[in-house]
Amino acid sequence: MTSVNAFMKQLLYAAKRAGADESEAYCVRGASTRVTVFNGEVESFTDSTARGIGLRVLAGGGRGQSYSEAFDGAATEMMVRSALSSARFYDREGPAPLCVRGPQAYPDIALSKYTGDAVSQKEKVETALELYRAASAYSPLVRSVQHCALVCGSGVTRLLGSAGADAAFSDGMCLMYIQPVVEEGGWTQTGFAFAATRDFHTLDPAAVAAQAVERALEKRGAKPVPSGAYPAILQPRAAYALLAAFSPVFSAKRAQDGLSKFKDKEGDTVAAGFVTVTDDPLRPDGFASVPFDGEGVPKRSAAVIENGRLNTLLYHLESAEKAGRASTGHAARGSYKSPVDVSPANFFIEPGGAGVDELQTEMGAGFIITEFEGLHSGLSSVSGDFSLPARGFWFENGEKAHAVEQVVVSGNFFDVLKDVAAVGNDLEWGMPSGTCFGSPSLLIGRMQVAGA
Amino acid sequence: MIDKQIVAKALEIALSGGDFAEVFMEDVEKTAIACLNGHVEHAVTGRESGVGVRVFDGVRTAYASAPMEPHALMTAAAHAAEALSGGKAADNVVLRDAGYRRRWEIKTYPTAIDMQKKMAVVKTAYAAARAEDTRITQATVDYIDACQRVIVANSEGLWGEDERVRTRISIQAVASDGEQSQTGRQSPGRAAGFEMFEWIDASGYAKQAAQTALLMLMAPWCPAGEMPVVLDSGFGGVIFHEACGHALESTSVARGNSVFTGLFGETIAAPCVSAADDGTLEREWGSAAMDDEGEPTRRNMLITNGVLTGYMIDRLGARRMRAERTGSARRQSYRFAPTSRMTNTFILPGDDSFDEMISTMGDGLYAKQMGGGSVNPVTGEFNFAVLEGYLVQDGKICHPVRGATLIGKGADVLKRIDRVGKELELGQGMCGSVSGSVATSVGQPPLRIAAMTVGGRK
Repeated sequence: MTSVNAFMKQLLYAAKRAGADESEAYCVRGASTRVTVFNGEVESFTDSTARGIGLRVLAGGGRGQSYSEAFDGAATEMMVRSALSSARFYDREGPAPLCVRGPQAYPDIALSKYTGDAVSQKEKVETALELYRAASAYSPLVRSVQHCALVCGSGVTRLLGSAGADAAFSDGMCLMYIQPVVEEGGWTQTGFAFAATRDFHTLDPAAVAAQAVERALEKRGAKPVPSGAYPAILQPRAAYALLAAFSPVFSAKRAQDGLSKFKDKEGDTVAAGFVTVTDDPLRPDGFASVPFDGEGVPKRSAAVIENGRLNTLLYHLESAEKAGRASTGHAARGSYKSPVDVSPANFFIEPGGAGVDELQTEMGAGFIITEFEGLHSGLSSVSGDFSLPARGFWFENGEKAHAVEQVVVSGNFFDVLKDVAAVGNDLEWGMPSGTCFGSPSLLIGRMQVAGA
Repeated sequence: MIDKQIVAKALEIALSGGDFAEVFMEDVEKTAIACLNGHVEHAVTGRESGVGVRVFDGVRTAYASAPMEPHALMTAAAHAAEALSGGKAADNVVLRDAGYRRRWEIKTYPTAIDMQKKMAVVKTAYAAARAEDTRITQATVDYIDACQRVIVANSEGLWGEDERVRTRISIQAVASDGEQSQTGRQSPGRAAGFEMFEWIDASGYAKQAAQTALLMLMAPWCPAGEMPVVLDSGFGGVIFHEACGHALESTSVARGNSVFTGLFGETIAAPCVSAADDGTLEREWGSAAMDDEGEPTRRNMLITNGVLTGYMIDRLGARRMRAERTGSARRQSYRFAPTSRMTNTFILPGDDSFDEMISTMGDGLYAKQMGGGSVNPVTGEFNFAVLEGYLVQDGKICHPVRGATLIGKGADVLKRIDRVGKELELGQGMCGSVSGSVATSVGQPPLRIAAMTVGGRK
């Protein structure tokens, strides 16, 4: 422990001696174990210990960055030389500060204690096997299981700045997921479900298994619907996946770079009146809850869209300085390797008052969308356009008439925000792209569907 | 890298847990430069290094990864052995260099090139994209290079060394008319050093990216429905990669989860279709001297005249399928256990002329450039975005269309291919799967699919 902190200090000192005006070291260390199950038996164990350190410097009016996974004298020399070299090519305005200067008061967040380290290997194996068995036993139609795994991991992040920044946070997560394959006649499908929690003992293999199998079985009899424009309900998983895919549009950095249509739209109405989108990094037990951002700025909750009005974009130090305002604490670092970017933490659409039944009644005949596919390729966050294969149900006469597949739903994210006709009360959370997004069901006035 | 004697010792410790043990060591130096709107967004150089120890007990495996330090290697070996406790008295491991060599020379190592020169390439490509038209309002250029040294040692006495040098430049151009914007993209890469730019004209690729964006800006929406589709060469091969290639990996086949399980020797495609995975192609993006289990790479025929003639098999798959390994084991880094993966995967050239396949297709879609997509490996259902598409009417290419998506099942599409053209081209990409993200090429000559579902807005 002390040796890593000492190494970070030495690194800052070496950067200073080599000519850096200011520097920052960002160190991430972690350990994880993973158990996978195949055919009812443990298939693999994985045990990983990882660490890395990123160095950023301000020198000669520029900013530079480097990283290493080795923590020794040669690594120090390489990092300092590379970061100073990259600083020479800095050609933008600024540069803004690397990170906060001086000590900060960081918020306390109510997070359950991570218990993954205290659980024996044997218990982890037993829980993974239980997940597998629960899925196999849930329905006679379960033919096999494509993926079944349990992962427990924890890590420590420390940020140290030569101008006084000093922030540290440790956290851990236990995760299980399963993808059973169901078969009936010649028909085959898969379903997927996962659960994540800090406290291992709250994992419920039976519930996760049941959800995964149900999600496969509900696709029985699926067929396309005729092409047309229909009212649609986005179920929470589909809604938060869409929000996640388009979350870059909320980045002030992207707006300044001309890559978001929300540029110069702060204060404008951008969504239907009952749409409120919040980022709450302090949410008790939130998957992505964290006390400081990637530049050491204390985290706080922000209403990004409030009753349809775009209150604020998400800022880090550089985009904030450019806009002449304060950072909102949204600097994000994927790892010690990554350049600093902007992203939300626990980002979600606030639930409304309507029950799912009410949404269905209000929709009448329409398409209930359970999931989108191809989210990493079938859309442009610049234009907002999307064209995504979707699954779900055709709903009419007060019931789900049949499952739907092989259709493509097209639209524009900015139009969808304005076309929200009602917001459900069934908020659900997920981690569609590594970070945490949430949404209730949303009733959308009209969605373009290409089908049969 | 850690000394041979210490690695041998670690293998002996690991072997106490099972019947086979393997150590993977990796040291990689990388540079990434991003340029947005003419300015350097970031320029990061870094070094990644670590070890991974894998132990087999039959088809059960344990994997432990750690920083590259002798004591960490020993601890990882002990952890992997403990997880399996297959129990066998440790043999004495003697390691012999297999003598693998890359089949081509690296002329200019990226580590020996000044940042200045890399910057110059990036900025020139940026300027070329912007200069194409005033409606090109944005351009992003990403440059990456990596010099990865790996050593694989195992309890059978193998000591294999390889050095993979890769360089890639990726240009994205956004065309905008004030209301709408469209994107074009080109991302050439090679298993080569900075000399890549002697034969890859980055500015030419930047121009092409800009032209795609401009064309799509003016294009009406693509109509939806079932129609014949001509997929052009190069990155068009992404559909074969995603919808068929993954299902031919032993990771999927050996588990019985692939649509192609048990079909060896059977007809799975139209007779005009032959396909291969070849990790030996000179300087090609997915090539290497050996795979990440220390097996030499080779050319594997996957489909021969429509008949399934090969899978891509790693060590675990070989044990499950009782088949030979095919030099197909790959991983992103020491943090991942290897699995069967593709290298350079492509449909072989045929005899058909491009003009004829268009002129006899009636009404349909010509997909000149493909974007990304995804596939369900169990069902083979896929969807892909068409980056640059054209509507074909009455056998003539009429006008560009935007927003097209191709939807279908891999096994169906293979049987519906009715024309295979003459000119093979490859396109480069990053493929993500259980063992992480690895450099792969996809490819094909132009080919025609008799009927396919096209998603569009009309």
